[in-house]
Amino acid sequence: MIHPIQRIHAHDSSDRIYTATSNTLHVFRASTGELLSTWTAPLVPNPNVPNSQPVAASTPAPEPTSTDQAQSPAPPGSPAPPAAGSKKRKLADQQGENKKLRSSKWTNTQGGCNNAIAKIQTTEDGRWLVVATMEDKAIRVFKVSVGEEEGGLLECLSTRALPKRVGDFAILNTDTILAGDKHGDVFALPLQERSSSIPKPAPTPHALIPADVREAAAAEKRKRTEIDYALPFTHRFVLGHVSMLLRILPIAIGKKTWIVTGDRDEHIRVTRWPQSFVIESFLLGHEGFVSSLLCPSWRTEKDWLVSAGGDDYIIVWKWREGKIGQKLPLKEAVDAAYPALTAPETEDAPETGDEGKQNDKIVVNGLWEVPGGIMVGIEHAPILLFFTTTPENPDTLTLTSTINLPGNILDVAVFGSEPRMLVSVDAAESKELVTAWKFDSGAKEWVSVEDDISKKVNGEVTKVEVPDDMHDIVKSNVLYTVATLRKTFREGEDTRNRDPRGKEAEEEQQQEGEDAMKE
Amino acid sequence: MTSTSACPAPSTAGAPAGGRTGKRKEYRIVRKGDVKLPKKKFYRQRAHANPFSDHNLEYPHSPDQMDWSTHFPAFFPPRNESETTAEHSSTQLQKQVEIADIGCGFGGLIVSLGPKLPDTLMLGMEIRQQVTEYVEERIIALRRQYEEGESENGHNYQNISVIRGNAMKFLPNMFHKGQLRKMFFCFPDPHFKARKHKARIISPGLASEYAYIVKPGGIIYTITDVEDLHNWMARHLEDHPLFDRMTPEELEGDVCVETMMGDTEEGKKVTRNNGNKFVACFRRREDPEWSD
Ligand SMILES: C[S@@+](CC[C@H](N)C(=O)[O-])C[C@H]1O[C@@H](n2cnc3c(N)ncnc32)[C@H](O)[C@@H]1O
Repeated sequence: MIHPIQRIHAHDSSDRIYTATSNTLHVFRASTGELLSTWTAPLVPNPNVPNSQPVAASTPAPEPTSTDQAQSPAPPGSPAPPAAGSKKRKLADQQGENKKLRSSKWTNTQGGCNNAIAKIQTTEDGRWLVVATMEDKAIRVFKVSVGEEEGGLLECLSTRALPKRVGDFAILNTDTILAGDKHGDVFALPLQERSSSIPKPAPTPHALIPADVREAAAAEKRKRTEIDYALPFTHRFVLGHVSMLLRILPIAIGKKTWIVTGDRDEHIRVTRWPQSFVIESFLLGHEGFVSSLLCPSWRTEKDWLVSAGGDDYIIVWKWREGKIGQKLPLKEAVDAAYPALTAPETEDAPETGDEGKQNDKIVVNGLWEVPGGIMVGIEHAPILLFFTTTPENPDTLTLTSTINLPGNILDVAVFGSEPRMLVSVDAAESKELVTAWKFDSGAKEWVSVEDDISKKVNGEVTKVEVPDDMHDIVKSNVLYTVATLRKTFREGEDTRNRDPRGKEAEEEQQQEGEDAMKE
Repeated sequence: MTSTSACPAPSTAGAPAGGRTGKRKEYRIVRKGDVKLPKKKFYRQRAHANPFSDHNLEYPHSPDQMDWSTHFPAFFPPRNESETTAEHSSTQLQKQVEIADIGCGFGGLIVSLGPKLPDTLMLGMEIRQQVTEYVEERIIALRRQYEEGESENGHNYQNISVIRGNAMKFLPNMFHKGQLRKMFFCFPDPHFKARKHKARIISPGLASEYAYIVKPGGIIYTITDVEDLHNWMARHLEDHPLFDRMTPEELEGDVCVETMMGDTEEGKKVTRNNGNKFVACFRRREDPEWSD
């Protein structure tokens, strides 16, 4: 299996397409398809493979090293970076070692330590690129050279590792990153912070004179009430869910900004910004997790919020009023386009024809805005559902068409004025990584096109061969991460004794219980 | 640690959550609906439930779907067959739960406060199933005692109820914005270790959620015998821009403070052990101005 592109992102005014294949980022010029730059996230030692350490030691993750720099594939006319020779060798070495490390990891069944890219986002002006990676839990900020100074180079300015895995992040006003972790906390980080770790000033020990004693005691008391978020860089706590945080969406209208967050416990929360201690509302209506949120900009008042995730429907909210505008079922459309997804597993398994009960095979893996409509991706299915408003019904979304893809949908980037859509797919057979689509405004349909960008992406993205025994791991950890968020209970079970935050948290909690009993 | 407010350690420490021994099960079946008060020992459970776990809890999707008629039948007409929950709840706006006791344990607070504020609906919330069942049985028995003329204080206990739930996750599913007038945190689990502090029931993030549920002017009451936890709760609520710490003068004569000190199970235990009790109460402010 060739590793598919799990993330794709477009930025219009800077004419860029960004793709992520496992831990490698590629930057293309959208109009010509020219490959401008690549960058590879450092691998992370696999804690389950003792001998994976030596290699990783030379590239200690998540600290950025000189090789943690973007590499330009022969930028024409750009000044050679100082000490280019040594740098190149180092890069080559690292790549060799990466390969070694990767194979040692990918042959281990614990796997999943290839530090895949989880999210790519650019600032509105396209000058900054923010990338989240999985295993090192890091958020990296890159300076994008565009226009005059363009050399194709990406400069990694900072690497900030969070103590917990990044659930989602968003960029606010080109200067702030809102990062949400898997434990539900959201922090604001300044976008531009060069140093990756500003060490906390250590309290300077000094001899106490009696008058200081009371003050010291007060300070000690204060310290014991401090929460240590273990973030060794400038940050501000913004809000917290006691749940896995899955999506952050800032919405700005006039001078006001709201932060909308979605979690694994069916909640959508609307919080003021920057007065994030005021929760404006909860939008409650989902029965499954909420992993996709979208505020279509073609609603000029920004009065709609579309949400989806673990349910076989999407909800269109009149979010300012806290009301459901529409609940759009997906099952019929999915069944019509791709019946295999919801077909019963065995012949004689009864149709779970429980009326009113959800179809648990349908999970939405993404929502994307296109002019006048939205695209809904269904995980594990080679389809995109295209919903639009119509001139007759400007205030409702209806299913307009279904787009059939050569492989399961992974991600979508919409760009250009036409508009165009680059869709990354998991298509083992056709070996296609992306397909391109153009909106035919006459026929009001999306038509498949073969353009420069799709050709170049398919041709130039570094092909990473995933060993056979690693397919499942790559699939569940990198490509199909949404359906696994479902809660599953066995009949009659009281508590799912698994802490969704992972084994570590589970053991901690176990320990805590035992400690409490001894006390 | 000499004095902690960890709840009574169960005799069946190793048993999985929800596991029941034959004896307990039998006891509970036999006594169901009994006018006699239930015995605690048949309802004990592992001292801690992980608030981050996916407990197989039943909770409404939103406060509109909350069927209060099962909790307060004297105040809400029971739902008839043809009605949906939403339809039904719209007919029952006349009365609302206004007091919540978070982590109510064996229910001492609401059982004592019920007769003192007879016109106010109050709900205990408890994450441990068996402990919740105990409180349920206790309330049913108290209601029966009244109906059969065996009540000691002449109160019918129709204004108190209990629900199983994880207060750190699902309060917004049960209560509307600004619904509560009073919220209690009595002797919460201390979670001593620093790295466990996120598990504490008061945190900056949760304080915002509680502020959402409590109406401006409403009060959050906290009490604990663990000084560190007291400092923790006080600091995080004091630091929160939507809460003001109340002065002892403001709290003088507040029946709620007396009740949580004297009538909670933990409060009584601390008294028996001559332990300290730290009280801190906070008034919900108005939201700050936010204009375009
Ligand atoms: C130490 S006991 C105190 C009981 C009672 N408030 C008293 O004062 O006697 C704390 C209680 O909080 C419950 N609890 C802990 N976390 C909870 C949560 N997230 N939601 C609801 N109850 C919780 C525990 O199960 C326990 O019964």
